[in-house]
Amino acid sequence: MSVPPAPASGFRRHLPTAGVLLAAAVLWPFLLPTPAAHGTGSQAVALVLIGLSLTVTVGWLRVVTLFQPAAVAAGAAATGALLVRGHGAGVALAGAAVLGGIAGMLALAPAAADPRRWLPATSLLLTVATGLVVPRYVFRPLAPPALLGMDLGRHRTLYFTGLAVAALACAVVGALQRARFGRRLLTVGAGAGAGDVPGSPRPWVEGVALSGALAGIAGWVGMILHEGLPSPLDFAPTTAIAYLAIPLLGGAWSIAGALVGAAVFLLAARIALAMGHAAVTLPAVLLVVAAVMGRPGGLAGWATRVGATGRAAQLLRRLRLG
Amino acid sequence: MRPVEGALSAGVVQGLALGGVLAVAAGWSRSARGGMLPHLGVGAVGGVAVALGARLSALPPVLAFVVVGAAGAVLGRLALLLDERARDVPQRPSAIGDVAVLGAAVACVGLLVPLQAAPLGMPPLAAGALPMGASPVGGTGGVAGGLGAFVLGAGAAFLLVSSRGQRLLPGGLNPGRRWAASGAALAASTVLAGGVLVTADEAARAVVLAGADPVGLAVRAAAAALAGRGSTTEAAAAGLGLGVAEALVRLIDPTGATILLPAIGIAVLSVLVVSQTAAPAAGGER
Repeated sequence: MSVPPAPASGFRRHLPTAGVLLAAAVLWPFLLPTPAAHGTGSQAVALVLIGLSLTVTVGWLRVVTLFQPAAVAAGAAATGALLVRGHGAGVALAGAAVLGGIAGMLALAPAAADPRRWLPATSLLLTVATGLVVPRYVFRPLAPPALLGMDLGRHRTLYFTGLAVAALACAVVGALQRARFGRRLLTVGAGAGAGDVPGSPRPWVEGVALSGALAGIAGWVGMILHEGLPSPLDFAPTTAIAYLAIPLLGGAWSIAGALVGAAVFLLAARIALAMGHAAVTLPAVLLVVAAVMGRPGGLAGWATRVGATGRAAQLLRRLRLG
Repeated sequence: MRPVEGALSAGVVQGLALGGVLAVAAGWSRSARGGMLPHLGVGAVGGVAVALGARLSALPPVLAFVVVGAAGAVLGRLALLLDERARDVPQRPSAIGDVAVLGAAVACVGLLVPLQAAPLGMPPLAAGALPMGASPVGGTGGVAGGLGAFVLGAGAAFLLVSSRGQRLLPGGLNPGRRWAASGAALAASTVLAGGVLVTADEAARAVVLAGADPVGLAVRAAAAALAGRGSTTEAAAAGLGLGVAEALVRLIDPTGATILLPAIGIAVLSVLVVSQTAAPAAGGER
């Protein structure tokens, strides 16, 4: 089986797109200067981090993982515990990443003998267990912390901080994808390599640890955004299925896929809320089913195939202008 | 009925019912997957059937039973189509078919069971209004329903697994028929087990609807099928044990919030044991 198409052209090719996206993200709180809009922005940041987390497992290792809500819960719990004990937001961020990574490895541990076969089931079980315990017994109201003198209790400040963290995470994941680390995971995902060698689960451990750490950081954002009391729905097993819409819709192999998927996911959730559906997971789950029925490359893959010039030509043809 | 007796009775009913459901799951996993990993979506089809049964509770019981059974067969067939479509593309991640079926079941239950219970003609389920000790699912009728579910599920598993059983059917069971049979058996057994048709009580339906959780059913089915290690009988026995364990958990936590913990424990232990003792089955996941 061939290794999926890893982007080989480096950062330079994607710089214009990244610049436009970053400019739009920076302008967002000024275009809609309300706390609700800033809160939505922070949610988008958390979704991007979860999308990156799933890019590592679904895209690179080619295995469905459902432990992301558990890792988010672990990150949120670590954030709450560290902040309550007087540690700073930076320490809490590191703690969230570490505990999220541990959650990922915890899902892998019972499945280590054959992760491709067992990991979907064990990761679902971990999420179910976490969803039963953590929201009921762990979370407590939290005073908004400060980071480098900035008050994260202000939604705009939290949004920009989260945006910086997410941009850094995108850069790190992109670099890792091009490095030996990412190639090893892609090779394992393609069905050959260390995953098939007994006693050599290292790529799997590295992959789920990175994936869990990214989801844990999303938990850090969510915990501060909701002042210590995130919604239990965020950690429900159905949410784990819904999150899969992000890589499947956007395209599982690239950072662009995570960005596009997170945007579509958030849009679907907002439309559902506007239509009066309290359970935002329902449209997201429907998106998963639709994505499974659709093309494997997702929306980002479609955009890459067609290309910017091609898209413009297509649009002109449809408008009968070209 | 005293609370303790009610909880134990409900637990036994659930255990018997799970035995039936899990026998189908184990049968499916053994005959179609070539290994011990159950399909995560098989139990979820039963969750949709429970929700559908609750919607049809105004019909006469026999008619509702037939309709739900037929709908279960259709659901099973649709689940197969979705599963096949998901696996069609080689670049897809593993287990994507399982998750697609599970996701579709979650969506179906979400559509069938609105958050407000009023459109279903049922009273709103207030928190704490129906402690499991007072669950009308228990009692003689409930046990009979559970036994019926067990017989039905075990019979379906027999047809799915044994070559003798397959010879009884013209043309045997191809994957499509197997999925349809699974869906029908799951639908009928879960409806019987849930007591939707056994009791005509509105409150009973509310309790059952609360349990029409595809993910919960998937977790339980996975747990018992894993504990059964490919054996239908052992999976059914594990289902019984799971039911008793859940009854005990209900005694400790009447809210039922921690009801899935025994299933999680059994599944993790089983995966640990199985992964240490069994090599991956040949033939892939199909």
